Amino acid sequence: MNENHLTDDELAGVVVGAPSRRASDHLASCESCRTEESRMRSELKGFSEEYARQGERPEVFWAKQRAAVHARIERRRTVLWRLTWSTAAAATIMLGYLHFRSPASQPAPVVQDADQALLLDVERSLRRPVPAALEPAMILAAEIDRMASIEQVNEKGETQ
Amino acid sequence: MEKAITRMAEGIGLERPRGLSAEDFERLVPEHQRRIHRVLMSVTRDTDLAETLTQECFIRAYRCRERYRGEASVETWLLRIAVNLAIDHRKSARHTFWERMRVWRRGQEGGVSARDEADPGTSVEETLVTRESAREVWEAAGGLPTRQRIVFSLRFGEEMSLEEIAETAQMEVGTVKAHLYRAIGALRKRLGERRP
Repeated sequence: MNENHLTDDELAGVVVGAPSRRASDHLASCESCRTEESRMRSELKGFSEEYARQGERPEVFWAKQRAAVHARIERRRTVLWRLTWSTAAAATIMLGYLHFRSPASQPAPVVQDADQALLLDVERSLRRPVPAALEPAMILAAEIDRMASIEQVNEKGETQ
Repeated sequence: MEKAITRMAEGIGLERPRGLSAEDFERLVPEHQRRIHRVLMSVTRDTDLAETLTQECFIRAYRCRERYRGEASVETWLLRIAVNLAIDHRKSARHTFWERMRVWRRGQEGGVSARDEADPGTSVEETLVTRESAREVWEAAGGLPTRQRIVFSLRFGEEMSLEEIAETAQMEVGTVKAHLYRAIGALRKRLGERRP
């Protein structure tokens, strides 16, 4: 009988499917280790059977699960679809607003018009005989002159 | 050329060189839901949670379907999402609370659920003993740490190779082996303690 029995790791290596050479050689000659290996394999087989049993479900269960997954995917698609459309709509509205708003409130032409008006105003002022601010005084002076000439005519008439 | 590759890939399975279309995705759910649910059931040990996480796994896969590059099989890709979900869930504080509640509730119920009772239709004693022994192993595996439980379930439940497990759990093959050795060691210890 071989006294150097397999260690736990060596035995695990055998059942996992990666046995060392020593383990393989030892198993060929050791009845005790073979028994232990066989017991371990039987326990692992038991696990495998129970594993399969625990995963068993009726067909209705799988159908429901599929339906639930599809429903969640559909919901996600709808949300994404709505999000895309609302973003596109918002972008269109924004662009439209910017497009139609800009000609009315373009600042450059306004400045240009003001400059033009100022130039015209200056030109008109230059053409005037008197500056615009002195126009009332000029009217007053003209009126005084007119009144003075009328008085002179009247005085001449009285003396003749 | 690309179309031909795509067609070939679709003929083999669902793998596409770049991303997955919505039509491809429609086929994923019925094809993989059982396996994903089984793995999550084994890892979480909670029927409701396993169902919720299975749904979440497919929703997450749907969201990321464009990013699927076909480097791993669709199945491995889905299992990876499921495993990550289980780990994330385990980490969350909320889960800790519900876990405590469930443990407490089980304690109140005497630790035996309806599912733990023997099938009424079973009459052969031998079958009962085998089932009981299988359930013992299943319950003992439930006490393993999360990563060990994941690796153990994929190896002995799903019968995946060490390389496939490494790809799914995003670990080195050596790490997978180490987790398995530890898991088997812990199980042997627990089952040894239960034996008369």
